[in-house]
Amino acid sequence: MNSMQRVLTALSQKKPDRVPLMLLFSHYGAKETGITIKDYFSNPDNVIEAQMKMHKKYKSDCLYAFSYASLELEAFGGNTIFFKDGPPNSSKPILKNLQQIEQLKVPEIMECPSLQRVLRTISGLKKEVQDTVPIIGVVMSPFSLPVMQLGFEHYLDMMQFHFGFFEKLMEINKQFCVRWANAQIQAGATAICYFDPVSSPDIVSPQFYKKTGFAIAKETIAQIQGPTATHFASGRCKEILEDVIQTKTAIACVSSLEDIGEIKNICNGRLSILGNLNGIEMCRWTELEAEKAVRDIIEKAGKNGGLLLAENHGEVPYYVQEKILLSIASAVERWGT
Amino acid sequence: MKEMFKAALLDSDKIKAFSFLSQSFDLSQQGEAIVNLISDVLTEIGSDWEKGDIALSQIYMSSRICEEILDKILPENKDKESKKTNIAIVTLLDLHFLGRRVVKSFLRSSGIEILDFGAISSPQDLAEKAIQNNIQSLLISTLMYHAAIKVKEVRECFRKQNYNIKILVGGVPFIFDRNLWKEVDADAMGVSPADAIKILQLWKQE
Ligand code: B12
Repeated sequence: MNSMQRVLTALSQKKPDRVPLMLLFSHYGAKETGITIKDYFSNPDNVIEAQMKMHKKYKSDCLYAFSYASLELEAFGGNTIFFKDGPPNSSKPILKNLQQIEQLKVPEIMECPSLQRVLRTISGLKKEVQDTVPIIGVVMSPFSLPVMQLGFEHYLDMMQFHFGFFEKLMEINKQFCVRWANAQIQAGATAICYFDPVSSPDIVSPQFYKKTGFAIAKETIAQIQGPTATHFASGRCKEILEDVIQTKTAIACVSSLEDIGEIKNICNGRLSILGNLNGIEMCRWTELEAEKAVRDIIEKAGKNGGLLLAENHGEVPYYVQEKILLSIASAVERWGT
Repeated sequence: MKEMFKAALLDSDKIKAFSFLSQSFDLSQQGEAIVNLISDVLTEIGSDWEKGDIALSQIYMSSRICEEILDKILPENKDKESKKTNIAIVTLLDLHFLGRRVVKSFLRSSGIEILDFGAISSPQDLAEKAIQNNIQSLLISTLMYHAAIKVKEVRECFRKQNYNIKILVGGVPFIFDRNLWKEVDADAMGVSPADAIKILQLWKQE
């Protein structure tokens, strides 16, 4: 089986030749290439080359076009801060007060250089692999993006006390999210990873989610012209799974703080799952620990398809050692067939 | 009675929370009893969050409401912050401030005064500032992993200066790797902001 066949088989709840391994590499590519993270993302050729290299080296069954979350803030006029040994972060919020939401415009994809770089990356990857390896695009959910647009504290205040502004911002973010997702699909992305950690019960209560994050996801995902995976960035999802299924997403991503076997049972074939290696612990794992972690997940949730094995946050941290990734890859071959 | 106050906090109902206190206590006379009640309730809320029973939005709102209520009832506390305390909190090399904000509110609402160092990106600068302010207990909050591991450099700076200080760390990286606090040479870690209250009280008794 090639990677695409393997992933599609697993998603159709059948047993593939081995459990698909979805190592989501973003800024890790800079480490592989030996250049700074800022330089790495400045040129799509760097990303394309590193993605192809890592796909082969670590036997990962997908290519990942994500660079960093703050990219979307750049589209709204914000800035990004780069570090030498960790993921880029958003700089100051773009909205200084809620009134500014009235003036906020939906960014034009064509006018934002960093979004264009991602689209060029996707089309370059597509040229390389055609339909043999899934290419994953990424969007921040309309409901999660405001943490960067406003700052977390102000966003929580807005949710609680200024619901009118909240709804206005959601309208803008929904439009942007749909456009951005569909631009990536048109460029050649196979599926879109919808990052929505604010919907996790770790961040807002399931009752509040129902009238906000859930309704927004349902509406947004319906307009995305390709399959989606809903990612909670290692936030837990057990309590809201029934709602997540209703959003018609294909995959839910499971936190390493959750029992993946239990989540698989709840999903019962209605949703595939992605997870749930602990990326933070992974930074200091031994090879034996890596193998054990892989084996545990496969034992708990690997039967009869439905599982994509991955790190639980949606990107491999910079500090994870090469030998650990190699032992994850060989453990999947050993235990996942 | 405690349950009602807690329920009001979890519903983010400031008015209900306040009117409950004003009905149950003599606000001008029973400051200490109120602080004790708030501290108790926040500790419960902290462990509910730790168990995954309540959301961050609820823990954040509860801490904010309690801080506001206390500033109203005990206005003299408001300016106490900078006075005579040897406890400080900082966000290290990170642009994420909410963790620090919540921990600080928890402590202040429990009657523990604390200096807020804001965000500092260099371990050397942080160590210097702590020494200058005669800090004995330093609380460090981080969200990014690459920031969390820099706590070790902070410790080294203190060691070089032969400065004795206790470091308490918290934030998501320490929750996902329960041994990380030892690796970075901290003295303790807290999962929920309420752990900061417990640990500081323990250190005070030592
Ligand atoms: C929601 C979320 C997002 C949202 C919002 C993030 C934000 N705050 O800006 C979005 C989608 C935007 C996002 C994006 C990213 N994220 Co994110 N995200 C999360 C998530 C789910 C929650 C983070 C959060 O803000 N929690 C709220 C704060 C207040 O919680 P907290 O700091 O833990 O504090 C609580 C306790 O820990 C305690 N506490 C805090 N400090 C202290 C100190 C002491 C002394 C004590 C006692 C207690 C204590 O009290 C607080 C209240 O209870 C976490 C994973 C998770 N499961 O938690 C990942 C996580 C924080 N994200 C992570 C990363 C890497 C990112 C990105 C850099 C990804 C990328 N490549 O772009 C971006 C950066 C965004 C930015 N701002 O630039 C990583 C960071 C660790 C790492 N790998 O380095 C995490 C931990 C995921 C993971 N498991 O790896 N993310």
